[in-house]
Amino acid sequence: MSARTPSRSYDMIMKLLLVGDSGVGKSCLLLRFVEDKFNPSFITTIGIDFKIRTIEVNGKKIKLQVWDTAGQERFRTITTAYYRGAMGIIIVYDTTDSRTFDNVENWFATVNQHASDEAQLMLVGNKCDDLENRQVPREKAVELAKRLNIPFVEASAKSNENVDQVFYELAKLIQENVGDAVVETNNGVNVASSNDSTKSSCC
Amino acid sequence: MSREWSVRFGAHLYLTLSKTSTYQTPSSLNSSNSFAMFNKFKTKTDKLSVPSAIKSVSSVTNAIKTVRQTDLSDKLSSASFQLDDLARYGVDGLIDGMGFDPVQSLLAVSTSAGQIHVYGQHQVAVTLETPTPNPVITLKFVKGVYLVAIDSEDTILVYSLESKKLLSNYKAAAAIISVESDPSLDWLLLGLATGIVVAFDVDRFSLAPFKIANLTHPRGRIVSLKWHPRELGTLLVATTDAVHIYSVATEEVKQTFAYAIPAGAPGGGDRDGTRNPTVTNALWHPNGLNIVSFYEDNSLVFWDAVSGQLLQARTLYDTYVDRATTRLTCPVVEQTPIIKVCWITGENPDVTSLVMLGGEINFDGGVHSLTVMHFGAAPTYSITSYEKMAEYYAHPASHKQIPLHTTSQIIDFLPLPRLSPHFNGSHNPSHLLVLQDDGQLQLMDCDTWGSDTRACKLPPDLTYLLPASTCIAATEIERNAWLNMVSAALKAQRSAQILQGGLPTKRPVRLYGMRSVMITGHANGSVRLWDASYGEIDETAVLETNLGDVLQGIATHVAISRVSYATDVAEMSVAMGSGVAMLKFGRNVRYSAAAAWGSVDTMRKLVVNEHSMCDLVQRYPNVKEGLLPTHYFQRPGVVTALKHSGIGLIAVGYESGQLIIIDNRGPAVIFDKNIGKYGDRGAVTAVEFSIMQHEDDTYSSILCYVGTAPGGLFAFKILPDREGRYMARFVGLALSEGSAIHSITTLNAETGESAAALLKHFETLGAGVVVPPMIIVASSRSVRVLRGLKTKVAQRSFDVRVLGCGTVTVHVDLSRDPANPTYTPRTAVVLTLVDSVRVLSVPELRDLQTLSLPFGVSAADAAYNVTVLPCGDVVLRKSATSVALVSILGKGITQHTYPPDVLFNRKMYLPPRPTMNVMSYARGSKPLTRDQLNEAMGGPKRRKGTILEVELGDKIVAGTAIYAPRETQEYEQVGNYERKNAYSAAATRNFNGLVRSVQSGIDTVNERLNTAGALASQKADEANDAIVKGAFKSKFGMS
Repeated sequence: MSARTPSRSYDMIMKLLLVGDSGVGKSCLLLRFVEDKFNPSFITTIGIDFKIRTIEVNGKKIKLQVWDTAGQERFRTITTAYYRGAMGIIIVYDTTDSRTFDNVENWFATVNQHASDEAQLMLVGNKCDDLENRQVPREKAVELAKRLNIPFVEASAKSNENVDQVFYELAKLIQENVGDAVVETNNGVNVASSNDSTKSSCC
Repeated sequence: MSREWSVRFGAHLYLTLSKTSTYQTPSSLNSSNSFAMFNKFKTKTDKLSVPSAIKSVSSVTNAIKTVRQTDLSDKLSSASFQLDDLARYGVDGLIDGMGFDPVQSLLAVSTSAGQIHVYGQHQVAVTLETPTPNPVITLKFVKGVYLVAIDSEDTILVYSLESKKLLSNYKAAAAIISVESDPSLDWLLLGLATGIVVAFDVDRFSLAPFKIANLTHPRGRIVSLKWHPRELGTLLVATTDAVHIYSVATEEVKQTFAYAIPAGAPGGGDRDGTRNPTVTNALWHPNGLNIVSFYEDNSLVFWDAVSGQLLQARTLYDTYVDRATTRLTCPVVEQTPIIKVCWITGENPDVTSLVMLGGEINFDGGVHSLTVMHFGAAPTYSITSYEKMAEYYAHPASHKQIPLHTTSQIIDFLPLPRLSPHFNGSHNPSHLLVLQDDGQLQLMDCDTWGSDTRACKLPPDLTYLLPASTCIAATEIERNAWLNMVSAALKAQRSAQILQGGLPTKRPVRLYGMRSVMITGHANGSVRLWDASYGEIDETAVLETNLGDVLQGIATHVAISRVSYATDVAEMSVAMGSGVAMLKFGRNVRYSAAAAWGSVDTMRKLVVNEHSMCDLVQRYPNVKEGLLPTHYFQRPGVVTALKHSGIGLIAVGYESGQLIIIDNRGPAVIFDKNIGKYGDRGAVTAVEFSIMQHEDDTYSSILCYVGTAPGGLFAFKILPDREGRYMARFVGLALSEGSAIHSITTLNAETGESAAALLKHFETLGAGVVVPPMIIVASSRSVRVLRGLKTKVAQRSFDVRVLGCGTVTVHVDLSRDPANPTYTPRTAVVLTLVDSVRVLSVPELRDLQTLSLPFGVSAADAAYNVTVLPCGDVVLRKSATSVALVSILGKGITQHTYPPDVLFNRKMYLPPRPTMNVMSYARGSKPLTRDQLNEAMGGPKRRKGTILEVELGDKIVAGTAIYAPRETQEYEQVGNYERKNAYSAAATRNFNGLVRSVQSGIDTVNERLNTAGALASQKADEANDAIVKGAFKSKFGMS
């Protein structure tokens, strides 16, 4: 934890949500992002996992609250309550399992139904390091993302490819959206509607 | 054609577990000689002594009217029937409070019905009555021998677990807001509404001189009291304003923790000015070095207990909420309040998790989830910094919210510690017992945080609520067969029970060839088979299949509404909101010892189409032997009648009037129509398959009788069609009665034997045996005896509601020679009303006996709440959450005939209370000894305790005593009944070579069905032409 930005104070707090089919690697992406760890064994998430990490984008300290939801069908009514107030939602599929890609549109519909209109969405294809078993071509996903009008990134929690980028990119987009609106604050400082260059998200 | 039929039969395994030994395998009957057999039967039929008058419909009616009815109840009198009130299962009312003692290994629950139930190992259950009807919310085990209960009117009740009697009844002077006890201390601390803390002396039943006043202003309240987990004499007292550490020795506050949020910080809601949110709770870290306090705004603040330094102020979703931030952009989403908290430990008490009930994102105003922050091992106190501790509490190793129930609200949870009762009852819990506002329970596994619904974990009474039982039924299963069926489950379940305490009172075993088996269906899709009289046997197991798991991702409405079990073939059907599942008992070739017993691999995807059977072999639960789900038929709707016959035919009746008949061979739907087509439209409320004569036929057939809500009785004949498959044909309708038919029983009118469609009767079809029919139809207001649809022999109407109906077989000695009795079976009708059981003769329906029930029977959803078994056992649903077993062929046994079970074990000792750590010593803490504490609390003039419990309690907590591990635990054998251990001896014998007997059962039945099927097919072949012509005549009703 010491390597991370200390979570003393912050300029913004953002609630992010990870959704997608069981086994696509939502928990792995979160673990890689927050703790820089990777666990190859598959452990089904029970309930909803929660983690916090503070990052810096455009010179602002942004505290990310990330929720990792399990896909347990019978608790859907409870888990969809967590979509409320989410500012960013990451729809994850597995590039090595086309069925999880086929479900992306269902997840997109669920998100649109339960999340606020302002929520910024993002499509992430996980496990992109596994070229041998790839079932979903990049082009196909690009096309879908274009059609749904959401940004798209391929990432790998295992090889730590683009993981930070997913979260930084999303935070930047949210910051830009929010920046347009004038929000009342205690000390009267508004968040700059930032067109400044984003801090490199590479790792 | 016949070959095809025979192959189809052969492909499907049938097994019987009962009576296999009494039937020889008809191996001589193979398809080559069945022609010859058939011819022989034909000759036989011709020779049947059918009265010559029976030639036409009218003459038949007349003939029957004039023929003297055989009195099947001859020689039965009121003396033949007496009630045994054998057992109660489940609890009356809703559970209000829960308490657990890991040393004695006893669990107590209090109910809204004014009872406290204390449970131990599998059948140990003692009920303590409360003197007032007020709900008991708090239950605490103290010093092993006392159970302290506090009711909603602030009365403190002290029970002895030794004598199982109420020892003291004390009314507190003011409303009790908070309570603290310690399993090793005599003192019950009470935080009163008046803002003072007093102590109740549990050992002397009086208020102690000890008092803490002036910790809060007059309107403040004591919200929480906690003994230091390691230091005797140090208390954590939370008032609505602040949290204090109080020393009993010096009678002063050692440390105060006041939470103030500066302007601009996000904590405490509104960000203007300094805020002091109201305290709601406070806990010690199990090491006693840190504390956590909770506030109205759902923030939790961690403190260093000694220095008073604030380490971390956070909410469930944010950290450092006491520090000013530049801005806040995350929309505030409403949360539910945190209503209960517990700081649980691992085996190492330094490895901890904070478990909180509530605090989730609100979706309907109620609490539905647990939040668990797992912190892992605490940093070493002496070398860590406040900053590191702040990060430790800011970033738990894992932080999750666990939804528990979508519709019911969660009101309480109780950790079930494995190791010791110390650390505030949170030392390495195996499970949390979770209570819902609707009275249902859940068991959360503390290792996986998954819900554990296995019935074997908790006492049977509580598993009725784990989750709610949605239907009950009962059946008879031949004793050895039942022992065989549960043997594998018994091995798997032996060590699974959480409760190990108590010693059951031995009760005499009722020796029957058949065991009464209770079947319960549950809201989560679990179906469980129990020995209905398990109270009288040493060891038993539950046969359980969770269809909710099996059908995960396929069926959404899995609450079980109806079950029907076919004893002879060990098959069963289960109706749920989404459809019907078929199960059969068998050996699971896919069993893997590596996977958890009963677990289902839900990753295996299944495809389900409406109107087609879904094969469930992919989803077999991981059991060696058990009730394996074979097929699922998806058909949403309210199932109001279900019958799984002993010959593999299943009928499903819907509220809409739709009737579906399924041939389990295949399986295939052979009939799917609304019976409104044939008569009055209405819900199908009863179905029975029989093999007997229909009207003026000169042969017996497979008949399906269907009763409806408007009171219609429909008859269908089940016949093989030209492809060799069965088909159902409507053959008649008896006049409407006006009240809903809930039970149909068919008998052989001459012998009184059951005419139900069983394998043994199926086989006699080919032999041309004609079974004279008698149909007993019970509706909610009347009972009728019919000889066929057209002839009513007798009828009785009742002013009160008839809840259940069945027949019993009574063996009467007709020899008049007690030395040399010859028993003859006689039959009687048994009706269950709300408060009594009526026994009537057959067929006249004259009163034989009326037996008053010592309890009321639930009148909701009649019929399916009452099952009358031929052995005289009657299973009745008393309420939504409780069931009773009585026998009408008893000896007058009541619930008080046998002494209650033993609860308290004098040989168990409390492990020593954890002691303080070096750090506390170094910082100058002065813990009290037990004697010093007792003097400080009880004063110098504390009187001597004289009752036995004082001595027993002191022995148990004596600091030097050695804690006896559970494995070596022994009971002092007191007050136990001698009994014949026939059941368990038989069990041991039978467990050997089980598989052999089960397997041979399968083979035998399989052969028998093949043979009977081949024979039927043969006849079908011969009958084909006749069927086409519609001139249809044979002993089968088919050729």
